[in-house]
Amino acid sequence: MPLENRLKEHRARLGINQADMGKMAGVSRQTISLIERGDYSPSVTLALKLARICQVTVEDIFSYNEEDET
Amino acid sequence: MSKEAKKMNTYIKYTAFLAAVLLVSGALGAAAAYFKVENWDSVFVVLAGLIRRNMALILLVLSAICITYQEVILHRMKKIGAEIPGAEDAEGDRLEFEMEQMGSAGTISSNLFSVLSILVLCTGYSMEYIIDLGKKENVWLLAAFVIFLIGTVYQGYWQMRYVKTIQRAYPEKKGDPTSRRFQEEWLKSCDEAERDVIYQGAYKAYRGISKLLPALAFVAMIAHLLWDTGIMAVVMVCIIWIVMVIIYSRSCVIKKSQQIK
Repeated sequence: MPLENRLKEHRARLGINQADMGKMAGVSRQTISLIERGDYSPSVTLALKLARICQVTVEDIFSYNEEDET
Repeated sequence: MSKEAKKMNTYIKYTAFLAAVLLVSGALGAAAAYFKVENWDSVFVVLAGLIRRNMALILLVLSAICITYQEVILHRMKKIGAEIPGAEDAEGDRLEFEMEQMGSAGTISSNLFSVLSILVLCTGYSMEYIIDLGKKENVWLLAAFVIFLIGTVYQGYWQMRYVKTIQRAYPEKKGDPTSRRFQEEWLKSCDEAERDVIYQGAYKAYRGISKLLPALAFVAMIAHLLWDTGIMAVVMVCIIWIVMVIIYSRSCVIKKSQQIK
């Protein structure tokens, strides 16, 4: 997937688990896990919500790597 | 030129596909006719008679197997569901995947039971047959209907328990299983990643059924041609076919109109 993310790092920095982050963002724990693993690309709304929770910009969490696009 | 050549290729490809379908259909039709001429279809008559005479016993065994299996599934789901709230990362993913697997196995089993029970019951669900029955056979037929009803009621309760088990593990999942709007309420309580899975599954089902229905219509027509099975089966398959296409196309148009407003 061309979308890379550092959500796990930011979550660890905040000291919260996947379930708590899911609750704060209004999604399930599994969705947070899917995003962290790079198996699911979130919508813009969810990406913005996650950025707000982590108190960073969306680009700090997500980056687009064209080389990974096949 | 290349565009025109591409167009031609598509037409040729489609013509070849149609020819292949005609060839396979012809071969299947010929095989079915041979089957009838050689009287091999009597195997089905014998088989149907065998099922009809042992309907109650078959339904009883089927019910026992399904109930046992589904109780085991539900028990395991409850166990996994109790572990899910405290699980994190890989362990949480593993448990949730197991929960999904169990749920799917239970749902398939529940629906398989309903389908098989209906098929078994169909063999004796005919006035022509019932009228000629003796007192003893009538009792067995009645027993078969009672077992079928008990099994069907159990499946209804099982599905409610299944929903409640999931709701206990994931309290954010909403919806009353007895409500007519259950599917809507359930979908509303799913997040975007879960909805993505549901939409992909639904589209895959649509694609699969789109391929299956024309084949089933063909089989029903051949069966009517050779064994006079009646046009009901053909009508039913064609109704499902057209209703499915209309629902799909209408949903696409509604969605599109919402997007341009």
